[in-house]
Amino acid sequence: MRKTVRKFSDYLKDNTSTNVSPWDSYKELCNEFGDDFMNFPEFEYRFYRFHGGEKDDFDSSSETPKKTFSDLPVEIIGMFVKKLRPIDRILLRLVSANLQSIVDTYSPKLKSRHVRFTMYSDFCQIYFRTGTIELKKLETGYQIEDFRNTQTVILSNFDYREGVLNAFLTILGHPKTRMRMFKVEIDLSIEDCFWLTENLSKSLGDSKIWARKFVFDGKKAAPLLPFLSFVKPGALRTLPIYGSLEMQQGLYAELAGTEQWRQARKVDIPWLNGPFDPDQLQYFAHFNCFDVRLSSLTLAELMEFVKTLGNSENFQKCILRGQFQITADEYAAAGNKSVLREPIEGTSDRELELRFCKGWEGSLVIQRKKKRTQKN
Amino acid sequence: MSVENAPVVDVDEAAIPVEKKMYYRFESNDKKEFRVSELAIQQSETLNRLVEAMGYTSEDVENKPAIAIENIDGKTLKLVFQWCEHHKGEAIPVDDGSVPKIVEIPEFDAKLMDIDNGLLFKLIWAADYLNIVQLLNVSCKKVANMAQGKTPAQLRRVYLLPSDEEDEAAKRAAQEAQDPRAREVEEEFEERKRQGGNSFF
Repeated sequence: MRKTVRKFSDYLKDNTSTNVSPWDSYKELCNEFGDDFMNFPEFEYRFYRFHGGEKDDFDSSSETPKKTFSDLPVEIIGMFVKKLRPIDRILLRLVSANLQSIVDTYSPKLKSRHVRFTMYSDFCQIYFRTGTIELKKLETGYQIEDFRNTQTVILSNFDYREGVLNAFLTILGHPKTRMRMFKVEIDLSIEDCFWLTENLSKSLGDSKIWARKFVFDGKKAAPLLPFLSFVKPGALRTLPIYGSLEMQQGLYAELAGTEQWRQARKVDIPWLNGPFDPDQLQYFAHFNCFDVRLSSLTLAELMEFVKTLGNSENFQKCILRGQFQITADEYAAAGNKSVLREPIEGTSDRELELRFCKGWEGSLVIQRKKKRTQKN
Repeated sequence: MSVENAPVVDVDEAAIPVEKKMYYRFESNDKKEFRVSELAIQQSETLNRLVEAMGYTSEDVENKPAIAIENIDGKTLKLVFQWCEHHKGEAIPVDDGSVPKIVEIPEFDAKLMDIDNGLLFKLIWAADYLNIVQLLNVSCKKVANMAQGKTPAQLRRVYLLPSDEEDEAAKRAAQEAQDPRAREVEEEFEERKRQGGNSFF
């Protein structure tokens, strides 16, 4: 370097000005002499010295500043992390394992009512109250964008899947994050799905995501179970499912085995994308409320299910959708009833009311209601 | 008020007029002396407690030696006191959730902090040491702004951050420096393992 630039102040004089930021001037220097020529803090130090009126021969390393960012106490770096914008926190987390741990410790918890995480094989979006982070896969690496602040950074030679994982953990990984609604929309190959969930599981450990409502849209049959396992049981009340591997394969028993399913109060499965055996209705009886689409339902199956609901402690209302062949008259005749009402075990002032609704898609509403007194 | 006009009195540059109020004298670790107003000192919880405990009168300030601040150099301390003088009398933020978390950097502060990274980090360190909450807030915000739009490689360069490999090497070096015998034992163990021994002993 000494041979190339005899006096560094000559370079600064010829190539920099106070109107151009030190960073932009530094990029010019790197373009001309290569990235390893001089590190930025040293350049910046000399830049300010020179423009402050001091001459600067290059070889004055003894005056190089000794305080660096890493010398600051961890709590101060934590303060700095808190002041970063989400996209910058995501990028800082990629620098080293040490910083990853500091970012995870000091990141503020997410305060957002609605959060949406969408991931496709080449595009990912995390939407939350104060920002929208988007990642787009490139031929080599990926591009990350803070949609709200229109800031884009290209990360060449970085792995897209790792990038998504890092962004997810930075924004949503705080153990105190609380959301009213957390929507996950996934359209990935099974292999990518398992890679993501396995790595999320490793990173989150025992920590669970607190969400009142967890909406899952598995598009072409992404598995719900691993994603559901990240949600805190007990906190989760409502679970709308727009499609998943389990739905497609009719694996309701597996879902029913999870604590999240057992402790939820309401489930909606508005689209039928797989076999739904009426026997599987038993897995829904503990919910306060559910809305499911059935492939078929016989009169005997309905009568059996109504009996099950009559024994449920929590049940309030359900909607059974499908092209059913049963009519209200048939149901009434089968039970020798004049009204479509059924008693509830253990209570004398409540009963189940059945309503058969006509429309382009037949549906049946069963609801727990106050018992009607018989008029004379 | 511009950065240049902030009434911190560097005793070497004592030509600047001083208001007739209670002032305290402080000395940096490189023996530079400053006269700072009582109101400005209130911005620093550490200094405020210190002067309260000392109970100096105006005569004491003149007759007794300047209060030494041993961990901070003159250049940094001058910036600190300029900031305190400019913001004297302002409320000190309390982190109780009542103050908005979004930090705006006032024009004066931005100009004051238009310095090289080394000095900026010293300023942050001094703000932390002297417990000047708002200066710490704005200086951290300034450092945070420097990160905007940078790739991990650029962040490494701007903040001189070590990579995982460098962190690991530094950790090893520190361990070795602490206990050179431990390294020897480890090497001996590795050597025995290579030779097919099952037990170290």
